[in-house]
Amino acid sequence: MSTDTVRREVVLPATPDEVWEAITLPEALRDWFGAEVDWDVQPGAPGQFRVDDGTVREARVAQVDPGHHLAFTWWPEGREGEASRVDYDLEEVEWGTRLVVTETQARASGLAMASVAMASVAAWDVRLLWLSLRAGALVPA
Amino acid sequence: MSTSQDDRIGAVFSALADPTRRHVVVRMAQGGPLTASQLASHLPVSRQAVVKHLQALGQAGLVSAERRGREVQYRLDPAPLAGARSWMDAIGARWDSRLEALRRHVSSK
Repeated sequence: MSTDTVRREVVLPATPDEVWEAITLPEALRDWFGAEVDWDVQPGAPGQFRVDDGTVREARVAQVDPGHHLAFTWWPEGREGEASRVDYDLEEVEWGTRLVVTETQARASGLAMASVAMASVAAWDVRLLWLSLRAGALVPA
Repeated sequence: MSTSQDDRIGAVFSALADPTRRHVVVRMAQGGPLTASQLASHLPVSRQAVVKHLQALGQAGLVSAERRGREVQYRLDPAPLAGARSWMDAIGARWDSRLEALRRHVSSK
């Protein structure tokens, strides 16, 4: 996992099929994601997120495995070089569905070399650096 | 997030991708301004190699150099690191609130 990956995990009181509908259907996304989403959930299909804060993000669906896995890349309108990739992984558990979300900066443009270098840095490395800087009173707590 | 801010953060991550450079940053955080020779004495690399690492850190804005007489002292500037951390914090905070909303959404069904 590279430094610029964010990971969140949640167990939801719903079946994987219900969670799948929530993360793919525009009417569900309007309710919880805070965006008008226009997309066809097919690999390679383009999409658009009109976010409630007024910004627009373009998207492209990457991988679709209904009830299990959905991946798409998205980026601020007109700035595909700033694309990041979102992966949803669904797993049925005793109390519902475990949903793991990761968002990773793709850095496809001028930062391609940096992203190769970054792949060797674990997220906790930056956290550890931050803690040691804080211990040295170089950054505010 | 603007492109230039994104580029700066990319430069920081790139500079910190090297374990020796991370070691240099931590050493400077503990020891204050240091010369390349002082840093090299704590690391299993040559003074020349340390200077190259310091230049890479300098290009990312993490280190500044200051001449004192015949010596060059290097000082850590942690501000760019805060930018790198804030990207993860900002994206993470967005997912925290979205997933809380998703929990409410599926619970209300």
